[in-house]
Amino acid sequence: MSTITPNPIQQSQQRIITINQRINEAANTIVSDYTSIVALAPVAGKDRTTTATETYEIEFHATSIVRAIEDLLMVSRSLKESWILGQVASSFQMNDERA
Amino acid sequence: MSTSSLTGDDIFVSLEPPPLEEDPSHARSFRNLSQIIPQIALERGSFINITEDSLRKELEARPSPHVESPPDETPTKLKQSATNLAQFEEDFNNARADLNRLISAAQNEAAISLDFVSLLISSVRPAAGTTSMSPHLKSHVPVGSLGADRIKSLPYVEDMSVCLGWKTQAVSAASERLAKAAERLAEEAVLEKNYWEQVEKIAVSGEVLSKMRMPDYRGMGVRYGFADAGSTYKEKGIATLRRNVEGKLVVKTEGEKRTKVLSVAIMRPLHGDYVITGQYALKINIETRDGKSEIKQARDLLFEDELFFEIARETRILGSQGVTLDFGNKVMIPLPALRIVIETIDLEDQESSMELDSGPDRVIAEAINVALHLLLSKLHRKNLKAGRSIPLPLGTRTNTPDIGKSEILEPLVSSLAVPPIKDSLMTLIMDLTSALKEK
Repeated sequence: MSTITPNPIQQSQQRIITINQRINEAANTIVSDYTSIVALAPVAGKDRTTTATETYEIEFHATSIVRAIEDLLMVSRSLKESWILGQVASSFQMNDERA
Repeated sequence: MSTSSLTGDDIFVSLEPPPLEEDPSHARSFRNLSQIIPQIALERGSFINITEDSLRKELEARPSPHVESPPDETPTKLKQSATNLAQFEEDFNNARADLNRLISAAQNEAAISLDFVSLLISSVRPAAGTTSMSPHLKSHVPVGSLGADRIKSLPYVEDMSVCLGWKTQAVSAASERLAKAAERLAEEAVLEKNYWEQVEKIAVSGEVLSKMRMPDYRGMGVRYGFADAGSTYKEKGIATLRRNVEGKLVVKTEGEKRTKVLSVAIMRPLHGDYVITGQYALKINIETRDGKSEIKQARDLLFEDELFFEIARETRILGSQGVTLDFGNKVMIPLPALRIVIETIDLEDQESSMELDSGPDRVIAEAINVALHLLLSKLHRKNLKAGRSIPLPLGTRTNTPDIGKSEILEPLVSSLAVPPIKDSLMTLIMDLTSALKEK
């Protein structure tokens, strides 16, 4: 039954897990993509074909970094939504109660 | 000694049972041809120089096999040797067939290679090539069409400058992209911060916010309607809090923005015609500075809308009292002394109606207007209570549904219309009683 009517504690725990996952994933993506770019940068001993391919790979990794950062922005937005809707224990809520 | 009919050679078969296969001297059983052939090739170099005659000579040169049979040769041993002979024959046949197959395959390959080489040669020396080409190839491929030559291969040196150029381009493009994205996202973060500050202001002032999950919009929404208070109006009463390009919070209601306000006008007969002697309409601030005031305005206008809707509906119920609905937007309530006109006017026309503010009946108009608003709230509360009460059991026979009760106009009309009637009735009765008393 607890799956059909989720109680707030479980909900918030699930949210915490999801948000942490997303943050970790985004951070890892950024680091690995940046590493890839730096690894693809040297030009020694490669022929034209390889270099041309690597050009596009670098572009791809750069776009991927930007997308990961936008994902972090979305995470912050969803946090703000949860905060405003009172699903996050914060001083904002306590002010409301006092009012 | 028996002669077999396998080949023209004589095969010497001893009546002794043939030794078991583990005997190393008979390791050459015909069953594993693929092992024998390499062995033979190893021993003799190749199969080129082997002919029937050479083999025969070899066999004759070998000391003859042992043909003495032991004295007591039993029939069973003979039978054993016979079965072994059959097995031997079968093995030999299989091996021969295999060998034939392999040899013909080898011949095929050799013929193909010959054709290939002769085709190559025919481009240089046609005579030599055509003689060795097969007729099949000659008919399908023109003579001299395949040529070969030797080329001197140059060592390939890659030009590094091109690669360097491309790489620098790519890396600088990537860095530019990241820089631009950083700028854009920093701006975006600031805009988001402002937006959420405004949302917080609205939330703190007690509005009900919700997360909208519409197909094209996912964000914050605010309930500005009266559904929670018991209204059963068709309007949903939910507005979305969007963020426009400059980062300002925009309250967007469903459909077009409302602009109509309810106005109550009192008309009295003057020289045979009716003249407006007082009018009142709620003053609503058109200027909306921020989200809060926008929500308030939306709420007020929704209330006015609902109020007029209810009043218009109830005119039908009160038709017997003389209440009429003209042109679908003017409600006329005729009373003995005056006439009440209820209609909706546009917000922008508020200024034009200012001159009627000084009319003598303005107070009455205001009172009626306020009373109508209160009566609608009362109706909301009644609906809310009805919704909260326990419903009747299923199957309870309800009265035939009528067009409903008039909650708003009827109390008003009755409270305004009854006193004069009461007065006239009282005077009539007083006259009657006084007349009767005199008697």
